[in-house]
Amino acid sequence: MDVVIYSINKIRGGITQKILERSSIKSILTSRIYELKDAILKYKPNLLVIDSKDTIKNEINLVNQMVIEMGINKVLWLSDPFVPEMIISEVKELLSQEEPANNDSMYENLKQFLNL
Amino acid sequence: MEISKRIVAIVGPKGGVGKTTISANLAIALSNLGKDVIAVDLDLGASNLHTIFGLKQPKFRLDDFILNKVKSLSDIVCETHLKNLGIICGGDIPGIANLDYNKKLKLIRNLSDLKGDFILLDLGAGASNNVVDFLIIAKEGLLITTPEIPSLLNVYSFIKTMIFRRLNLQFKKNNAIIELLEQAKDFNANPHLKTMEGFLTYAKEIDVEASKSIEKILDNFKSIIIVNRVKSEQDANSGKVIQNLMSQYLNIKTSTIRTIREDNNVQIAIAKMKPVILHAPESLFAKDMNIIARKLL
Repeated sequence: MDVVIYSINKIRGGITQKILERSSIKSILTSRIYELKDAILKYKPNLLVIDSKDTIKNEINLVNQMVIEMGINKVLWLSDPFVPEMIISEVKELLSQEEPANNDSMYENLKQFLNL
Repeated sequence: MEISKRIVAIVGPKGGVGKTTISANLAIALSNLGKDVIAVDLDLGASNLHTIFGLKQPKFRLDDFILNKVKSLSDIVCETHLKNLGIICGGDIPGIANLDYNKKLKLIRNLSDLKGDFILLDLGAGASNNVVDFLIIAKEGLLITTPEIPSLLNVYSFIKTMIFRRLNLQFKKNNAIIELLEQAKDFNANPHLKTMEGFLTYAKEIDVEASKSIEKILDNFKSIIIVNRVKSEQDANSGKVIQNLMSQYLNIKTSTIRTIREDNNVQIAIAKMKPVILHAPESLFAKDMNIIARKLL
């Protein structure tokens, strides 16, 4: 599974899932925090799409915490305006980005850039 | 040039790493701990600290001091609605980013006269002499970076620039040390001077007292590396990479690392022109800022 979507608004969540599907991007839609957690553990997605519209502050904090604790590197936050073309373009861009380098290679890269 | 024990410079050599947001929220966190704090916007020519506090038309700005409309910096401290916290709003008069030497000296003297437990200096991006000199006068530097290589790279380069500037100022009358510093700038031609350890070895041969003095300067430089927008454990560990480089090549062994977790509340608070700590006190960002503030005490 490429993407896990979290939206408590089922219409917006459904539209998001549909537009990803049209671009052959597999996704699963969740609308509860525990569903989101289960989906992350089960599918280990490359990207989380979180719709913050209508989501209360505490839920946003919980999602934030989950992202950190579960080591998710790529997260796309949606709010208003809800523009499907922009969402698909941002999802594609995030999915095409390479995973960040690990610390050893980061150290070596920095040394090379600094000519050390 | 060392003038105060309470001045903390907040440095983010790469723009857009969250330096001003951190400055404003750290000031609030410290004042919430009962400390008298003045946050000074020294991002000359690109100031925006006041926007975080929602101050649309500040009564005074740094411009008033630069243009000699007031006698001292303490005359332009704007009150905030927060107890114990004042703010000096930045200026935007043309040319302020290239402050001449005398005006900079006057500003530095006045910074030392400000009354408070903490004077937080929100510095501009880049590594110009104006920015570097404000870090030099500060007791402590908070080096803000994000976990990405361009930002980490800029932090290292900034610290190296600051050390060279500091040593050039300290030893401007010591021709032999100045010459050695010039050689160390080109370490392809002088690989023996690639590390500060190597530099100290050669400095010792030239002037033992000077080399001891350099060691003391490096020991006394206290820095906290703050990795902002951390999304994973790997991101959090990027601070160690820069810490290792500073220790191995610059002999700075006094740095510590703190992290601030990525938090969507930051963007929401900025859009509302409110400090995150006030807008979302239970947020991850607010919690991490409070930890940093407590550790600073």
